[in-house]
Amino acid sequence: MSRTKKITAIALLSAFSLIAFVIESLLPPLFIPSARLGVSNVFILFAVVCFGWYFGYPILIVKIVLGSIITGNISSVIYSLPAGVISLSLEILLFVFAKRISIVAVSALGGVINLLIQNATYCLVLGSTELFIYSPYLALLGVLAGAFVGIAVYLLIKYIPLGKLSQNKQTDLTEK
Amino acid sequence: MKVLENSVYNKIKNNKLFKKTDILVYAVLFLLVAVLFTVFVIFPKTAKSNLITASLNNKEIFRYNFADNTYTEYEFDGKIEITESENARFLKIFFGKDCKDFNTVCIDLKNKTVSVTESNCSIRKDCVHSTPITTNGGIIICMPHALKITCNGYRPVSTGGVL
Repeated sequence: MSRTKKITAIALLSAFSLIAFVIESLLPPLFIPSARLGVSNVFILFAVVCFGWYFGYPILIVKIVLGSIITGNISSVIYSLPAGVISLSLEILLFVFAKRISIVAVSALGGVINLLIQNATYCLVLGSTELFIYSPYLALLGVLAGAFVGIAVYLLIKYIPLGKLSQNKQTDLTEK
Repeated sequence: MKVLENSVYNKIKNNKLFKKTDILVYAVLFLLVAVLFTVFVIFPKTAKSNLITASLNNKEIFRYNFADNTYTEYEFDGKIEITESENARFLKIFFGKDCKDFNTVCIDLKNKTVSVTESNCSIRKDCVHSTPITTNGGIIICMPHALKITCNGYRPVSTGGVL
């Protein structure tokens, strides 16, 4: 796959991820602040699997920065960015070093870590430990949402024919 | 890394949704959720309290006591407009010198609850959708405005001075 094609594909995935993020933020929240389904993570994980681990980060940063500007909540960059980067790095590490774990479990773990770190950042910024009351519910929601994202990525990869990506030749995914 | 890219994609394409090693990950997650639930939901002993405090950036702006109906306001960067009705008191809190951002807090005297009814924080409005605070405890947070309303009856287990 040529370099231009890769960059275009990543740009498209970033746009999808951003759209999913904005639409999700329009849905009414549960009683927990910042609890969401995380559909935008489907595209990030898909890019990591198909194009390479280093392509997950640009999509994540685009989603968080532009998403918080669009939803009118610029301060949410401080809370979402560290959580997103750390959970994505953990998922990539699991892919590389533990090859026997399926993508659903990796995604569930990433979802829990993301929400828990966001909660911890809230508490740190507000300077009070009272917000930890939400952490058990967030952890449960993170497992369910992460599993949902993992199943979505699995179905995407298994059933959508992607042409050159599915060939086993090494040259297809290298940059020339 | 280049060989890995191919193999990761094909590996997922040809494999199943659930593998035996997943059980280890799910067990760790289950343990984490169980520990969090026991520490934060089952164990903390809460006492009823009638005192409601609101703080902006961790500095108190007002305090209300259900028991004797006392209301104290403190100095902060903004102002509060109070409208009283038969069973409730509405406090419209404006932030900053230009008073552009606001949150409306409703203190329901009959049911002894506190909730946020209006706000111009963002599209999602987490504060408006939060469950109201009762004398059993609770917390409402408006993250964009850094506003925190708590009932002092709630005592979470301390994190051992980590934060």
